[in-house]
Amino acid sequence: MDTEQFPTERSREPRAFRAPASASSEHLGRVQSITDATLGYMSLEEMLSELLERIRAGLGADTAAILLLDEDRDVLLARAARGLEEEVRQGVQVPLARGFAGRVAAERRPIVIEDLDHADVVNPILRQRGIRSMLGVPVQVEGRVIGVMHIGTLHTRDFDADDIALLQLAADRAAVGIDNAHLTEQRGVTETLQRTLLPEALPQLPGIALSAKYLPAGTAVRIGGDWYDVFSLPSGKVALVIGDVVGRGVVAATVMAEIRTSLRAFLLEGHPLVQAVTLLNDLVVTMGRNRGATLAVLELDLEREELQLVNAGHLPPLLLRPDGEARLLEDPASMPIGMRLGVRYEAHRHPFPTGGVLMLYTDGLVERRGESIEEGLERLRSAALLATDRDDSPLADRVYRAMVHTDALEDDLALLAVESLALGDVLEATFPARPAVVAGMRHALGRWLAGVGADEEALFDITLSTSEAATNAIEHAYGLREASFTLRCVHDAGRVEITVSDQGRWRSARPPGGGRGLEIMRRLMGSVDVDRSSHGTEVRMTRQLKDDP
Amino acid sequence: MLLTIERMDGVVVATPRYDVDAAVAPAIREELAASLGSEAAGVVLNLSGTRYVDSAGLDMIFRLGERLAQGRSGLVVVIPERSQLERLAAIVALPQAVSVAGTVEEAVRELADQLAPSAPGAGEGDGQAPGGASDDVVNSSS
Repeated sequence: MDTEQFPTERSREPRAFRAPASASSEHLGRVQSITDATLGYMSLEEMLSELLERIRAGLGADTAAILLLDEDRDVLLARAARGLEEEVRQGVQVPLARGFAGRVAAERRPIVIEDLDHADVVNPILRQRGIRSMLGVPVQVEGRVIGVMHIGTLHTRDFDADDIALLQLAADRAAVGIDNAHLTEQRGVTETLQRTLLPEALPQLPGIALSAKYLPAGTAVRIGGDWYDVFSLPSGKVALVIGDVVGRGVVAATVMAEIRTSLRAFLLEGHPLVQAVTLLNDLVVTMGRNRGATLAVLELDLEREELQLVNAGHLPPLLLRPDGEARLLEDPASMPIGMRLGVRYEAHRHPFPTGGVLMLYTDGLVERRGESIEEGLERLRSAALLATDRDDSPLADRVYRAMVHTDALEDDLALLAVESLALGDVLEATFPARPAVVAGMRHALGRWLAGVGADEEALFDITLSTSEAATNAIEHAYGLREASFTLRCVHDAGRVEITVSDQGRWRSARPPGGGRGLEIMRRLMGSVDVDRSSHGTEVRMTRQLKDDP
Repeated sequence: MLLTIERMDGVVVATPRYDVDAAVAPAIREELAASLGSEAAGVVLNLSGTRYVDSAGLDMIFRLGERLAQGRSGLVVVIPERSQLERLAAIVALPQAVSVAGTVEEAVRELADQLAPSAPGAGEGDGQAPGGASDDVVNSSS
């Protein structure tokens, strides 16, 4: 049949007529086998192994191997091999500039060894296997040597320019794959870091509205050295932190994480502000990170409507008073942390009235090229005043939009806005079922009670009773995940009604506080009703406030 | 760090920095135990700057009093007169179980009397010494 023979004849014909082209066609086939796009879809291991097999077959070699440079230790490590698999299994290491592979890497050029007997070779496996001739080329990414690819033959062979060019092509192909894999791995690490290092969701605290903006500089590595933090202190007051570690990128971000966590730990242990910052400074200095950080730590006392500020070389927080006055809290600034031991820090008190707004920020927000820091602060002041007049989005977003025009940030940016809200006749809030939240709840309740006209005695009785009910609710939640309880306080015609409800099971076997809790509530409040159901427990208490004199 | 610890006349004066509630009562007990060590001269728990003590905090105080009474030591709790805490202490009958004094100076003196074997008995919760005299106690101790 003619049709069957046709293709065979066609494929043979060019060979017969143009002999030189057949060598070139064979060469093309080998080149194609190495530049084959499907290699790009394999895992790095598969790709290297497949590539080595193809180059070994293509060049008629007995062995092929790739070693990658460990830059920290200046050694080449066997990564993949064909015909020399034990090289990888035994973890062969070749010091840079020594031996065959070490020289290829150090000299960044192809090297041919015709007879291994007369060559300096570090890797003992090559001799053991009876390799006679070798060709090695550097594996490079953007002019940087990242490894060496080499082939070997059991018989003496003189590698020519085409052989060298083909092996170099394979090495370049491997370099692309290795570089991509590194980038993917780095991206993975960066994304994980980013998730861990970025601030958590802001806590929900009754009586204050929190909003924040965090933007790392650049586009590739989305983490930086700026941070903010908000959490409740054992005193029931609220800690606010803004800070900026010198530099940017992964190192700045990890130092930031150390500082953020340490400061949190010191404050949660109950150290006063000045002591916590002093301990932090000593810690950072002695850890020898050689990175300073500016930071401002504030302690909000919403009940007393004041704040305490310790400023370690950071830009002054901006306070907007309810009457529209905008003022920078410019206390005599102390030295940034991490510079030297024994720095003295000072706390300063400032009023923080209901209706006030506090802006904590890093220099990325106010610094602009060709502008003085004073001009930047003035821009922030006007932006903040304008932004507080509208309420279509979180305050931090509005201030940010008013401040930043350019797309690419030159520096990291963090902004934390805190609004002290007036509490009405009804206070309603949900708290995570953790004992540590109760002190903060007492603060919020105290502020609300003072607002509805409770005297000192009523304030004490209602706050302590609510505290007992809340502790009860937290005990009910024991063993439940992500449990919460809800507080609802209503003031109506001189009478206060407090409801604390939870979704936990009533644990009658072990009354909280040795049974004293309920007794205290009954003695301090006008009425106490406990409603236990399968859905949870609700404690409703009322108390008459004294008439105004 | 929940307590400030001072020593006066061989007595440990422990002052909580914050409210004594269910969140911190266990940690306060541990801090106190650590600061006492082997010397069991007696403890003054100074609540003169404390705003709230909840039922878990009161429990801790009752038990601390029992424990210190068992080993030849004592506890005096400082609760300012006519304070909200004094009202609360009366409701749970704290003065019937633990000595209560109005000031730190009174508490230190009362503890010294309690621990001195031949001292005339200082009754429970009756520290009514005039302020001038108690100042002298503090001054002489420093």
